[in-house]
Amino acid sequence: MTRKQPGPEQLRRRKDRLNSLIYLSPSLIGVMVFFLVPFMVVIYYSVIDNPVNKDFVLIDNFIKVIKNSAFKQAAANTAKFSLVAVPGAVVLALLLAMLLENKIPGKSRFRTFFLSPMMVPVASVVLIWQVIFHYNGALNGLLSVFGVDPIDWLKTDYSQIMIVILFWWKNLGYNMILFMAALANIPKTLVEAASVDGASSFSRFWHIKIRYLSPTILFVTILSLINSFKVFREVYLLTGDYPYETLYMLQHFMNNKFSSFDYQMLSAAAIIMAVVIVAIIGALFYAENRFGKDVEQ
Amino acid sequence: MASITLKNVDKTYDGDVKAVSGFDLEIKDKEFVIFVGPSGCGKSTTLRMIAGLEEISSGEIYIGDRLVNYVEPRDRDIAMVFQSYALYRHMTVYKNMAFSLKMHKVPKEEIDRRVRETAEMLGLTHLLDRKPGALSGGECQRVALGRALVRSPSVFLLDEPLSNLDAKLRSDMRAEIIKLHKKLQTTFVYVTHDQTEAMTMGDRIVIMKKGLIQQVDSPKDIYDHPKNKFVAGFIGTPQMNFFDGEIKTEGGRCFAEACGSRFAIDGRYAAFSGRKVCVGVRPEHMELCAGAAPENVISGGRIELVELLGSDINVHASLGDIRFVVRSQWQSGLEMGSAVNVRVDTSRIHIFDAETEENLAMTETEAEA
Repeated sequence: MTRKQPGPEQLRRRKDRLNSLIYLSPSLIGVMVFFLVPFMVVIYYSVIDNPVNKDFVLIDNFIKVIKNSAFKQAAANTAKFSLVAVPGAVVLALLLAMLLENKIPGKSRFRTFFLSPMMVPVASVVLIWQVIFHYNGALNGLLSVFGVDPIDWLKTDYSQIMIVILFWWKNLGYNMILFMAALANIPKTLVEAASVDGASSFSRFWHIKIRYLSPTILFVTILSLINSFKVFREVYLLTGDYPYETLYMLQHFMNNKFSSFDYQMLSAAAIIMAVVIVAIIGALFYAENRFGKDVEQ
Repeated sequence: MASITLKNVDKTYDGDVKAVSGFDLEIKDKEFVIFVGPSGCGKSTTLRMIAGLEEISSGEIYIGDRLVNYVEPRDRDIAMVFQSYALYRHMTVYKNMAFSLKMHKVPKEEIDRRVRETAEMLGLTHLLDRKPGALSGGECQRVALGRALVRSPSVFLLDEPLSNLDAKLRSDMRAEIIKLHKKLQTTFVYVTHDQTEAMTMGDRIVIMKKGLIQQVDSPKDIYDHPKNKFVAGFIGTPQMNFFDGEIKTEGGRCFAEACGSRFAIDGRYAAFSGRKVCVGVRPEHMELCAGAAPENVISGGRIELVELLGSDINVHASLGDIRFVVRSQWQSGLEMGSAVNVRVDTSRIHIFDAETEENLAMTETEAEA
C-alpha cells in the first residue's frame, strides 16, 4: 500500500507549525530550563528520602514539613504578613489612585513620589530602612529628644509592622499606576448616568466603578501576593538568616534548608507553598470571573 | 414639570476654547425643544450644562425658579438618556430601571410598581431579568428610556438617543418618543444632528453653530424663514441650492440676477438694489421644464446624476461651475450629460446678503420692527 502524499494545505499547515515552533523556541527553552525542569526536579526531590539513596517515600517529606515547628512558624508569619500587607497594598493604592484622579495641585509630583521607590534597588531600600530603624538609627534619635527609650525596632513585635510599611512603600506606586489606568478606562457616561440617577460619590464607586475595577483588583492582588512572598529579600538583607521570630518567613525556612542540604524538606515546602498560591489565585480568578464578567467588553 | 432658563451661558475650555457663547434661551414647561447643529457646535455641551455634568464658565441656569448653577446633577430632578445608553452592564434591566429609585430611597414596593408599570408601557416586561449584554440595540434604547421615565423627573434630557439605531428602528423610536412626550406632558430637551429628528419631533428647534445660537423657532418657521444661509443650508434634504448674484431693479420690478438668469422677487427687496447676494432655492421649489425663458428659469444646465428615491428623483445638475439639485417626480429621458432647464418658484426664493449671510427678508422685517 502506498502512503498518501500530503496535499498543499497540509504542507502549508506543517510549515506554519514548524515556523511557530522556531519562533517560540527561545522562550520555550528558557521556560523549560529555568522553570519547568527545575520544578520537575523539585517534585522528584519531594518524594525521595535523599539525593543519594533516592528511595521513594511518597508523602513522608510533606508530613515532616507540616509537623516541623520552624515551618509552622514561617508559614504563620508569611500568612499573617500577606493577610495584612496584600489587602493594604490593594486598598491604599486604590485610594491613592482615586485621590489623584481629582484635580489637585502637584498631581504629577505626587505620582512620581509614589512611584520612585520602585526604581530604588532593594539593597538601597534596606539601607534606608536600617538608617531609620536601627537601634542607633534616626527614629530612635528623634524619639530620644522626647525622652523615649530607644527601641530595637527589628527585634521586637513592631518588626512585622516595619516590614509591612516597607512593603507598601515599595509597592504602592506601581499598584496606584495600575489603578489609575483602570479608573481612566471606566466609561465616563456610566458614572455620569449614575450621578444623574442620584448616586452619591460613594454609591457611584460601590455600584459602578468597583465592577469595572475588578480585573485590575485581581491583577494587583495577585501581583501583591507574589511580591509579599518575595519580601524575604528585604527581610534577609535587614536581619540575616535567623531574624526575630515574627520575621521568620517561609523563604527563610527554605533558605536554611538549602544551606543544610535538606533538599527533600525544601522541595516539599516549596510544593506546599506553590499549591497554596495556586489555590488562592484560582479562587481569586473564580471570584473575579463571577463578579466582573458582565462589564468586560 | 418645569421650565428651563439659560441666561447668557458661556462654556470655555482650557482658558480659551469657547464651546458655547452667550446662550440665552427660555424653554417653557412641557415644551419639546431640539438642539441641532453640526458636530462641535456646542449642543451636547449645553445639554450637559443643564444636566450639571459640565460646569458653566459664566451665566445662569434655572430649572423652574431654582438657580441650579451649583446644584449637583442628582439634585436637579432631571433624567438623561445618553447616546451610548450608558446602561449598567452588570445589572438586569429591572435593576437598571430601579437604580435611580433605589438611590432616592423609594420604598421597595413602590420601586417594583413603578418599574413594572414603565416596563409595560415600553414593552420591556419580558426583558426585565436580562442583562444589557443580551439585548439588541433597540431594546437597550428602550431600557435607557425606561430608566429615565421611571423616575417621573421634571425635565428629560436626551443626548442623540437614536443615533446608534438603524433607519427603521430610528423612525419607530422617533414616533415612540413623540407619543411619550404627549403622554407625559413633561419638558423634553433633545440633542441631535439629524435634521429629520429635529423637524419631526420638536415644538421648537434651536440651531447652533460654533457655540452660538443661530435661530430658535418652530420647525415650519425654520424651514420657511431661515434666518441666515447656515440655517437655510442645514435644514432640508437635499440642502438648499445657493447661487451668487445681485439685486437689480428695472421698470419698478425687482430681480435677483444669478446663474445667467434673473428671478422676479418681491418689491420689498428694492431697498437692497445693487447689493451682492446669495440666492437660495430649495430643490423642491424648482422644477424641470421644457423650454428656456428670459425670467425665472435656469437654462442650459447639464444633468450630472439622477438619484431615484422611489416616487421622487433628485436631479443633480451643473451650469458651468455652479452645481444644484432639483427634486422632481420621476420622468423618463433624463440621462447624464443631457441638457436641462429648471423653473424656479420665485415665491419661495430666499435672498441672503453675500457678506453677512443674513436673510435679507428678515433683516428688513427686523429693521421695520
